[in-house]
Amino acid sequence: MIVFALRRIAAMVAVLFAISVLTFLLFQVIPNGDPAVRLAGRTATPREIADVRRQWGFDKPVYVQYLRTMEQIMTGQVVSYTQQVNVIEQIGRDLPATISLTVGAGVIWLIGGVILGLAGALLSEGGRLARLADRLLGALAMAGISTPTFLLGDVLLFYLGYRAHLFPLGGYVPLTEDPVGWLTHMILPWLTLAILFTGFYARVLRSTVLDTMREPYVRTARAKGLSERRVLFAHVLRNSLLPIVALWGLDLAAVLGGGALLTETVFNLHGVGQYAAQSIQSLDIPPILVITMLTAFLVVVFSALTDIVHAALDPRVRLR
Amino acid sequence: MSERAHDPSPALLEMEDVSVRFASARRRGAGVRALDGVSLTVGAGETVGVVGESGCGKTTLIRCAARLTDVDGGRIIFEGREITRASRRALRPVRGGMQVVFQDPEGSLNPRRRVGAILATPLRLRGVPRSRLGAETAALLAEVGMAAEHAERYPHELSGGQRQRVGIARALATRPRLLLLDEPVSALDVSVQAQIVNLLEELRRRHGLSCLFVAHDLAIVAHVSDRIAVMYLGRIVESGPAETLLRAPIHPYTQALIAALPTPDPSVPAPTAPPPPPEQVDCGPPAGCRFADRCPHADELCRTVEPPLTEHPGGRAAACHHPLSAGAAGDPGRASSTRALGCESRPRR
Amino acid sequence: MSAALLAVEGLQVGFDTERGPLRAVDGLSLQVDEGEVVAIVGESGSGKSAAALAIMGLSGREGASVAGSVRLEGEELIGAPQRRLREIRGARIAMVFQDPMSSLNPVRRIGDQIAEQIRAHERLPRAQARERAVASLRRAGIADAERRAHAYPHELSGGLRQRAMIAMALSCSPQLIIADEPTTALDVTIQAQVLSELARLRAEDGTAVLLITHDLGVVAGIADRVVVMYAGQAVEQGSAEQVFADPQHPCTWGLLGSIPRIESERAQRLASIPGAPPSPLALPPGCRFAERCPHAFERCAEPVELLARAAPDGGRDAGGSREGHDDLERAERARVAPGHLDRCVLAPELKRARRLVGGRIGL
Repeated sequence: MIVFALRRIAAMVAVLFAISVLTFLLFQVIPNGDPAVRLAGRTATPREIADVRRQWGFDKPVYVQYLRTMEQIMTGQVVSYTQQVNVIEQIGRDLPATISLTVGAGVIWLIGGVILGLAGALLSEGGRLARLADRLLGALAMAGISTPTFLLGDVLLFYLGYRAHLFPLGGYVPLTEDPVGWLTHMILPWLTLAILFTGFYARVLRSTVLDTMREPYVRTARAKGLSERRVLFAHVLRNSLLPIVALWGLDLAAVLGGGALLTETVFNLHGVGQYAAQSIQSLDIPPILVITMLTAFLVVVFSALTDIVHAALDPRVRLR
Repeated sequence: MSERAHDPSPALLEMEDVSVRFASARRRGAGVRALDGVSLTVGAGETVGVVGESGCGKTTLIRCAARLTDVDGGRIIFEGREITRASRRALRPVRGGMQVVFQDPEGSLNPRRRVGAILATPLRLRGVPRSRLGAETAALLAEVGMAAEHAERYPHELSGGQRQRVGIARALATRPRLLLLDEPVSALDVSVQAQIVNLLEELRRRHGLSCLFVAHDLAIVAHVSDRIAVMYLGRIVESGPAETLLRAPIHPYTQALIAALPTPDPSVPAPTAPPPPPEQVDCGPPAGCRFADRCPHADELCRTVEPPLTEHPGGRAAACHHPLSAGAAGDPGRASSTRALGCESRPRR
Repeated sequence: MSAALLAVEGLQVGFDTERGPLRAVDGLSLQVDEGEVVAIVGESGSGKSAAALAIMGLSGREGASVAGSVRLEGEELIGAPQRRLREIRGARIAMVFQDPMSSLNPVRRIGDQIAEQIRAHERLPRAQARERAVASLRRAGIADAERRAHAYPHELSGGLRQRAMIAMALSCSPQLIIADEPTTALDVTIQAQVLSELARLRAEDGTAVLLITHDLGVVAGIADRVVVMYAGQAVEQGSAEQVFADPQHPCTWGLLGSIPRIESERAQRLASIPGAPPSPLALPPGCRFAERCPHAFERCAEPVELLARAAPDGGRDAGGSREGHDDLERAERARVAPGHLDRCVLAPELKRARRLVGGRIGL
């Protein structure tokens, strides 16, 4: 276990270093990316720009700039170029919305994916009508996967929010201030994000369930005289869920780290993803850097957690 | 080279005191000794059988001989050339001279390539021009009792026996002198098993092949081998000419393997089962004889002192403090674990 | 009918494949009495495993259509409701599969998997079912059963896994164990252990065993009766003594000849069956074995029935080889060995002469 933790921490340091260097360099080579020009304002004279450049240290060699930025990030002092607010504090303000979105949507898509996937697998083994229903489910899943989030979100907002007045038109209300308001504000974003993943999870689960059903140990379970329900849940589903759990952990990490930027933007949730989207628009390196590193950090931590859960569920897996 | 030319029975493959350790997955430092000072010689035109239960190191032996596994100690000499630590590049000319046939024909054939393509690769390595590939492939397939049409098939379209025939054809494609056979028939039905054994015997005679034949089934090893080495937990515990070893085993383990064989005759009592093998211990076998905890004759000496592989008359050798049979009646020679399976015993033909 | 525990009559197992319907089992009849060991022997594809699954009522799940009759102590199982079959499976007929590694759930403990079967058939508290599981591991010859019950399948050696499979089969004290190639994936030494374990259980508990294997050699020491299958049909059946001492069908000869024996001459060919079994989609109308049989003659193109043809003396005094198969066949029919059936029209005298290859039985 200690070896496992050390390995993962080492991996995390390596990943964070690599990803931060890459992101930093990327914005160095992007044309029109000179931050001094934008910081100095539209009407700035070359002299003012030069002042800004010196003041912010943009005249220093790249590695000095990198080290300085990293130091600021680590000490929580990093400031964005455009609005010149503390990035860490800003992300701290945005996180509750993102966490609300991720956890809610994650639970919905996991449950939805498992139910639909299992249903699809069972239907595909059935008669002609059942197989047709499975095809329909498959088509729905594909539709869910391929519908762009901004389109789906906007459609939901327009019909259920604007026309039917069932839901508010975006924005985020903290759970601690108004639980009911929080819920009504979150339902549409949850659905929008979950539909995308549900389709994907349903397809993955369907195929693992079908594979598992052909395993000899499932035949053994029947030969033991177990009921079909027991065979399905205690043997087929339990073993089919193993890959899904691994997938879920990584997806949650990605969404927490701002991966749902489209959903957040459409519903104006002011989450980490939306912040990332705004920062990319304005080529604001510090927030982009911090959010990228946050995502990488979360992915490494969550994949370690998933591995622990996986090892607990599957004795063949060893933590290393 | 000139020295070898005078050797009465030129050895094709010599393995001297070969050891392999596998790093332990669970404990650091402690490694599993897959092979522990194994010496073995395969003479020209000779078939040497290696028999033992799973985990005894017989597959590792094959992999070492083919240089698919790196050796931690000892020497491997093929056709007079030491290949123990030869680089990939240096091995290239040697590879054609010895070929491996694996246990699982399904796993060792690329499922996405047709039989023709599978056979074409080694043929090209041998330098067969593209224009002659078709004819050579058909000839190879005919050699293993298959039709030329089979070149168009994918491995999954073949039966288990046919797949193993393709595995043999692939091995023959480079015109090897030595075949390394790793449980070549144990995944097959007895009837197919018999077909493949017959085929191997035929090919061996036709091409004067030498074979190192590894299996867990002593009956099959006995059927194909001139000499037999019995392995237990990484060591050779008995070796000698096939007939005498089977007729009068020296080591109790050999006797146990013989007793475990079923006989197709209801009047013969059912085979007796030796006690189950001990659990794999990561820190290596205990002091003393490795077989002691399963052996009916074991005493205090066996549990404390590991018996060396000792020569016995008739080109035999065994590692046992209490040798069983009359074959061991003579004065057990001096311990010489490195030249145990020497060139003393000659191939019968 | 006497004390038939299991009576199979005219069993048919068919599959609808992309290239047309096929019959994996075509009219198999056999009987297993209480405490008896019956072996079904055949090459892969001969239909022996399909027959086993059909007897368990499991082949419907695998897409097969089953016809004929399978009766357990007189109760018809084919067409019986699933609910009833579930009560029988595991409790009265238990199955041991070929590969214990893939036949045990890899992520559940051995003891739990056994306890699960016990609880499916008897109302027992969890703890008690677990105790029973440990007891049946012990009964299957596993030392240290307590600890093994906590192990996962991959933590056990191949031999122990198969013993665990047998323990599972034993756990509800079934009347019949169907063992489908129980030793094929195992070392010879472990095979001997597993076989002696099955023999011991039969002796101690009177459990009947239907042993399915491709290796006639494995069968000799343990079976009371033997059924040899080829291309979906029984081609020979009889007591173990009859089949081994006086084998009537060339397929049986070939299976016997395939077995390498340590006392045989080194250079000798194994008198095995040449070629491969016919496609189950295109079976010949006559003897299905004819195209691989070196002794086939014109009469083999006609359908052959499974009949008692062997001489009652077990073929010990091999008479002169006369020609004229049909006359002889008719003459022999009058005095035949009871219960020794085969599907070969060759005259018994000819069989006796032709089945000897190099002093041993072979093809």
